[in-house]
Amino acid sequence: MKRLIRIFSSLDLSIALIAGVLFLLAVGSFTISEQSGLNDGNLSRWLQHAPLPLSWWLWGGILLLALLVVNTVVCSIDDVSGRLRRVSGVRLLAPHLVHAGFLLVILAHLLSSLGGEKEGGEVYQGMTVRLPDASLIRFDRIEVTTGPFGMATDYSASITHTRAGEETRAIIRPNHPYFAGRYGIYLKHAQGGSPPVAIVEMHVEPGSHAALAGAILFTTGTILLLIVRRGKKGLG
Amino acid sequence: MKELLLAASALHLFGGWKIPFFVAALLCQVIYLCQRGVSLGRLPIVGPHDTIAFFGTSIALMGLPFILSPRLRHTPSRIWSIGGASALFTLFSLLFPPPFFPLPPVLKTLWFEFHVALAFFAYGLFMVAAILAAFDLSSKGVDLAPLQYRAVLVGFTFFSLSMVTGGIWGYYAWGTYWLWTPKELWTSILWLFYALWLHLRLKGGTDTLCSWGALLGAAVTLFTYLGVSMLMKSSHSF
Repeated sequence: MKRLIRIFSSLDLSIALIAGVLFLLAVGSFTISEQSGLNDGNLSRWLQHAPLPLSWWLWGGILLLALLVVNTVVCSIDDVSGRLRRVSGVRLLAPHLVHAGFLLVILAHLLSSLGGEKEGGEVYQGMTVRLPDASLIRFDRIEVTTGPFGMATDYSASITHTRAGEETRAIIRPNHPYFAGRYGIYLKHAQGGSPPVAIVEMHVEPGSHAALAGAILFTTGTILLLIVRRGKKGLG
Repeated sequence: MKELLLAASALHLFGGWKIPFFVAALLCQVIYLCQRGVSLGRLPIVGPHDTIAFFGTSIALMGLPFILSPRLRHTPSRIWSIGGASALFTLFSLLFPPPFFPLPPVLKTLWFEFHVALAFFAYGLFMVAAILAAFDLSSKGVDLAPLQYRAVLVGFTFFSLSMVTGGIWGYYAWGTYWLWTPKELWTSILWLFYALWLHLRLKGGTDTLCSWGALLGAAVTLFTYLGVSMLMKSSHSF
């Protein structure tokens, strides 16, 4: 056990694992294409069905990231316990806030990969769609503003969400989705006509809260590091 | 007003070893971007012309505190190199026509503007770190390693903030904070690369090794920004 802890508390291992993830992501960037379907829905389902020549880099990346998570946790515990009496406060905590943020972001990806959903399609003005929780979204009005070059400069849809007999009205537009419980309703595109039509997507992103929490911790940690390490040679 | 970019490049290239010329060139670049911003009603950060001009300006802007530092202030060649890199990209931007089309609705958000601007500030700092690394490797004068470290650490912070704001924008715009596209992957590669660089330094990596790392980092930065946009299909293409 001690030997295992010594291995996982090694900074050399961290460097080797980060380098390995870098390499696999670089390979992956040349392997993926829009047709590979990686962004079409749940990642864990994609991994189960994708042929290995297409997905091996991602499997490898997940394995190395899992080891990096263990390595990060062990390194952080080792560092905090070793420096607790010598260093205190922000100087001790800052790098580990960064580590905690990183771990939360990895958790976010895991949650989204396992429970994320995405569905989409074309809707027309007046149409009602049923969400998986049996509530209803009615597209009351779809509007498109066109600019001088014929390009859509803005579009929006007025919707009515009905759940358990209770109606909620909202307007969705690019960057302004509507959240119906765990479902995010996104307006992707709209076109005038009779009737006007829109491309709409429904997303479930269970990792979003963990990602935001991780981002806040990470950002706080790096800014604190900047303050406490001004002019110093190391990072920790 | 492309003349402002030409003037900035000329000032950087033919007088940029003197701080007043460097500052004058930077002012020309900033005024040009402000003018573009006013005429477009937004930050000029879409399309090859605007982004490359923004990148060139970011190198000079982020390099300014470094050339004012005691370690660089009296070394004209080092000051000139930062201005020269800025001029190179500023001139490169002139090869592309400035776009005047309206912004696609999905890009009309402050999250997008923060995301892109912070990324370019980080790119600028990574380029400054690489220039300092090149001087560290080629001469045995003043030790520039502390400045290199500062450029990378501040750049890493800007880049992390850019990833965070990009994730928030993506969540509101696309329904997810992450997409599997070459640009996202290379963004992660760049971020991990500098995380690796910082850990290598923490471990006691030599200045020479870190300098080579900073040079390699500049190559990864350029590929992430220009290479992916020009050579690979991605939602982030110009």
